[in-house]
Amino acid sequence: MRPLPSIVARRPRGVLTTTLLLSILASCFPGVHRTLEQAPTRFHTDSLAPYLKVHLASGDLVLFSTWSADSVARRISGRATRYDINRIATSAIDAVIPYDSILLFESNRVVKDRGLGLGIVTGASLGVTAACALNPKACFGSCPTIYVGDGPAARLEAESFSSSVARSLAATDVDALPSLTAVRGVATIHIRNEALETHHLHSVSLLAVPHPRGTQVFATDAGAVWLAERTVAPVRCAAAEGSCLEALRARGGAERSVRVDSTDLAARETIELRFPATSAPRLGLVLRSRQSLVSTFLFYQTLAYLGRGAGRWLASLDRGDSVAHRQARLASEALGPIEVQWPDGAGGWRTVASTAEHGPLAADVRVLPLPVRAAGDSGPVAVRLRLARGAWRIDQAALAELVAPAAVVRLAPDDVARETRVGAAGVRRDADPGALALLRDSTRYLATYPGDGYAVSWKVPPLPRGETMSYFVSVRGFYLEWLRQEWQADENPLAAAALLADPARAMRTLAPRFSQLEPTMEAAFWGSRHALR
Amino acid sequence: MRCAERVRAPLGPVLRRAARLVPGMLLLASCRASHAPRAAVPRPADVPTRVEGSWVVVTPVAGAFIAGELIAAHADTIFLWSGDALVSTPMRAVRRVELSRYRANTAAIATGTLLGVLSTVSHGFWLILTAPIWALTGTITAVSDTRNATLETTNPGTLAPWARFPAGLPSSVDRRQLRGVIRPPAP
Repeated sequence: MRPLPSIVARRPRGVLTTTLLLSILASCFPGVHRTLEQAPTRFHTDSLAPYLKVHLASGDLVLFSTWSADSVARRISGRATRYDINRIATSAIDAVIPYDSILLFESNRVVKDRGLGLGIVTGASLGVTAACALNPKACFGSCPTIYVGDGPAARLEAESFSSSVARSLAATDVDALPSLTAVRGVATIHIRNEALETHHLHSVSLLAVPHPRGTQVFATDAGAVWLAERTVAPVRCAAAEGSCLEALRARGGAERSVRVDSTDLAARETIELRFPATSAPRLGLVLRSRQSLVSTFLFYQTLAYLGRGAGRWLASLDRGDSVAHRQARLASEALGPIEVQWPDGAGGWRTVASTAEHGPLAADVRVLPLPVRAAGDSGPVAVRLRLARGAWRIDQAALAELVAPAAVVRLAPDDVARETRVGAAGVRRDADPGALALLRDSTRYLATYPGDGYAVSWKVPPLPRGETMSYFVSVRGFYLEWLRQEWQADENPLAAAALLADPARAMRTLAPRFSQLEPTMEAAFWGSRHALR
Repeated sequence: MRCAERVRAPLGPVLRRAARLVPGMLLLASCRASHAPRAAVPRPADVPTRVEGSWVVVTPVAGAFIAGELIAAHADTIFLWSGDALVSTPMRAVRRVELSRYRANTAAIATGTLLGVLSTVSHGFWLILTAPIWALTGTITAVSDTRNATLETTNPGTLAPWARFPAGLPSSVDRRQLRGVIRPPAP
């Protein structure tokens, strides 16, 4: 066989020159690698890029030639030129830009490697725990958590605005705080950010409701508070698994929790409740419930399918894009609320109320006013619940004899303290007048990040004689989910489009997958919680 | 002298054919070349400091094409600054969008390829292989470079990163206040 080197030996310079020049030709013409990162996340742009563009929520652009990120103060600073919406340079400045005002980081690098192409990096995996990494769709999330009490005695009482995943979806959530009592005229709650999310708190108000001893007060989904003379437990609870009376008759203890339908996450089930006879004309069904992890899974799965496009989709939600809003609404409606049904007089049932208190963390109590009964109707009361199987956990169902809407005293916070961890279990509190000012200012937001915690206090009004006080917290805001690189392994634009266009079908497609993960999701979810910093 | 004799004899036609491939290569690359005005498209080195959106040519399903700066690409609408107005077109009415990310290096690649082909005159008999390889590699490089420099898509997600507002038109921006871009100097 004729060895190849003999060819080179004949014309070594020519062939070597050709090889060299070809390799130069194939690689020396520059392209551009653009990286976009949704903010605010961990600062994670292309470190080799010579400039950094920061797109602000106002539409302005700041072009940094030198910059540094301060992850504690959550701002980026450096030498920069600021451009207005028409990209006219307004100033060459030593800029300091808080993360809160940033929509996107953009960096561009001239590259020779064409294989890189265009990429959008919307990733941040700061502090993802092992449990979360093993099952990324079970990462702890879904809004600010609200605790009452200190140390080991602290109780998770509420979670706020769980479905407000963009600024345009900002909502007010009213949650009962049954454990809260005032100490020397001051009531305090602890708000934590325990997820890979940025929470924007617009307002945190305490609703103080004085009412006669022996009575109770309950909030509706709409935030109204009703006074109830008394409540009674059901005498019968029938569901597909048999009797559910033990789980639903009293607050606390075991919740009623069933597994999803492994062929359709939206498959409905019914629970029939029967209550003792009463002659009260105005009744309300009291439900203490929370969502299961189905909604969390669906939200994270949507973001995973969107992959590198998730940031863009969330940004379109943020700016109120009608298509994205419709998609989000359809996805939310696929699982649906807990419907309360009432006999229709012809042997059937009709839906008369519904509740959709979002979030899988803390159960909340809601009252759903029922149709006013006819005079003289004093028989037993039958109510039916219709809900997506496995999507809700119900702790208590009771019948309340409603009296009237209660008078509510709304209080703005009087004191806010930043909480930081000291040692293994200690917590230090430092007064934070800046945070207090933000929470009292109706035009601004207090942004919190994973591991942040605040103690918020109110001076409560004196209690009239013979009355007791119940408290609710009313929190308005929204949160931004941090996108995780672990999700991008699931990127599938076609599946994302199918899920958003036809959620009902997606409920069937994803059911086997969720059903498989379901037994381990709870442990993974709670195991990935971010502790106080 | 020996080399020149060899080229003149059996290999001259090969070299001439290979050299003729270069204009063909330019033609092929130009099929994918940007139709944007040269001044509206930055050189790759200028992209990091460019603050406006990229130049796009939108071909609607019906009607004449619209060209201008890409302002934003939403899921349902594409916005561009064309002439002296903000033009919004529903994505469903768009047949094709050509976006010029940066200037392609076609001329430089063609020049390099031509010089490369000519240089094979020194390869003697082996230019029968090396000259076509030069031409082929040059063509592939030019087409690849042009494809990278210019996007053709109707996917808003692919277009958005190259818009003036990559995250979409901010709701706080008064559209009446928008103007065509004046190119500012880099910091």
